[in-house]
Amino acid sequence: MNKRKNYNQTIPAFILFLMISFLAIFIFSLLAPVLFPIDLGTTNLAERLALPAFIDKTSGYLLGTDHLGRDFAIRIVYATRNSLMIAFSGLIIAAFLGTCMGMLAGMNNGWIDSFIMFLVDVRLSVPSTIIAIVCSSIFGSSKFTMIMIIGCTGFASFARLVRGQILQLKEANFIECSQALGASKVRILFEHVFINISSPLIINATIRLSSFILLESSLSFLGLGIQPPDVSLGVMVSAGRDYMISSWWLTIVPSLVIILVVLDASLIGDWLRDKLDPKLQNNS
Amino acid sequence: MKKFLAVRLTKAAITIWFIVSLVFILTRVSGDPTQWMLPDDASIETRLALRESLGLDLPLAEQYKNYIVDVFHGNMGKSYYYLKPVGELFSERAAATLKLAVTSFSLAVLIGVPLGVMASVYRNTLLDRLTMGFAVAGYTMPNFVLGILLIFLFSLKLRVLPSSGYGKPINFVMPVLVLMVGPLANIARLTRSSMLDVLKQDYLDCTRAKGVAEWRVIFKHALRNALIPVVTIIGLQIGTLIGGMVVVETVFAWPGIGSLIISSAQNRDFPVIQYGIMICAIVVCLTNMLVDLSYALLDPRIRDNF
Repeated sequence: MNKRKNYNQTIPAFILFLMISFLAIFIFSLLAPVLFPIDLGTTNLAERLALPAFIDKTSGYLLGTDHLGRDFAIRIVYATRNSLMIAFSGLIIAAFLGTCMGMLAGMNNGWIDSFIMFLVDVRLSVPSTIIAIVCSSIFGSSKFTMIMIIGCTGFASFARLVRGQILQLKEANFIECSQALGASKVRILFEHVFINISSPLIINATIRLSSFILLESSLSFLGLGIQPPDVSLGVMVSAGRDYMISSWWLTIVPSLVIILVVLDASLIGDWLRDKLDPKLQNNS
Repeated sequence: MKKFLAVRLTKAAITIWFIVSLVFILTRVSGDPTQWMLPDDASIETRLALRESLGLDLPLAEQYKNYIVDVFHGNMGKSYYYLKPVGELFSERAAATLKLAVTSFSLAVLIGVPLGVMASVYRNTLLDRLTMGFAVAGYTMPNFVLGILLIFLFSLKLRVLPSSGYGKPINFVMPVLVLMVGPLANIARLTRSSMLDVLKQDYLDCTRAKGVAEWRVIFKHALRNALIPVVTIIGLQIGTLIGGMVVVETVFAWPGIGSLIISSAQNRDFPVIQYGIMICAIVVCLTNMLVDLSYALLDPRIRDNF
């Protein structure tokens, strides 16, 4: 049961497929302004609610048009771009903030540690959806606030993780050894600690990514995130709801894109965790 | 035991005070709420009168002092939008929210734990694979997307369930389903992995050798030892549930606290938001405390340390 597994196994085909598809979606949506240089605000009421090509073969629009006559397929690409970019930027802020706080807490005992852990507890005692709703109502909703909200609600898991890892590492012989050799705290931190905590950090970041995409789309769905004429997947689901009887694809297609992206990200995250965390390997 | 409770209660009180103060400061520095309450062409006199009647003309420190005193008196202010005391506003809607929350949460626990146990006992069989497949789908599925897909399928296509409304049992089916999927999936997954750890242990063989029936071995001897992580995750699901509540109530037009919080956020109705966030924090802190207390109930070793 405790046989050592080979950690250099090749990536399973399914996970490879997921990774490539996620990367493809990401790059494709990132290139949206180059591939489809349109203005998102321009409407064409004569062409409103045109049928998609999979229902009406003569339609010039792959996924039809929305209630203001805008090409739905292009809007989906832009929406995915916005959702992913917000989630990624938020992730970077959350990871940076959380890692710094976790390091500060882990390296300093006493009140700094207690205060940072108190902040983490405070953050965790209100669900992130509620914090996000309150913040966007106070600060107004824009891309920037969305990114900041994700960054400031997402730091907690990183801070806890990094602190826990550092507390373990502090006892390790090689750290004591370099302390004895006279290495400074900063040097130990960056040369030894950081490299050792990087893999759990990457796993946590991957797992968090899907929840950040979710948070962004939920908030936009509720009308508290991205505001029209800008698009995000949540905005599109919400806007399409009024046309669900006549043009169902206006809600169902963006919903499926959200499911696809979130499932993709979280399956990759789960796989990474199972692979890199030997404690969990026996249980799968 | 008393000392433990006292420490936890003090910690919870400090956390809640911190949150209440933070939200107070954020709402006050973010601009003048009368700006959104009055029409654009309102005269300066009207504006000043409104500010005075809401106590917004006082210095910030004094406003804060008044606010905290009011909170201790149970007076949470009046909603800017509904012009009613917020406590009243919440209690009117509490029943709808509680019914929905309690139903979905109990179902999530009552189905999730046995499902996880079954998956661990029949590890690597079709049942296990199906349960875990469902669990992955369940915790990655955004609840508003699931809600919309269900409305599309059952209300618009099959026409068997109402897409909104409140009161009849049939109205509960879809909201409860959407709300319970996430917690259910998490509980089932964790129960499975926690059970797998326990099922490996030798004392179970010993129990079997004594002639104890297999179901008793699993549910009494194994499950009880696997419960601590499960109780922890069940406690954590309360937060998920509160977050989900807000979204689900909006999707199904449910007349509860969640939809109140959303509409207040859209209207910048700060007293309601402040009250809502305080209630959330209290619920979560109390749950965490209950979870810690239940460890003592489950594990005699922890009980002795109290």
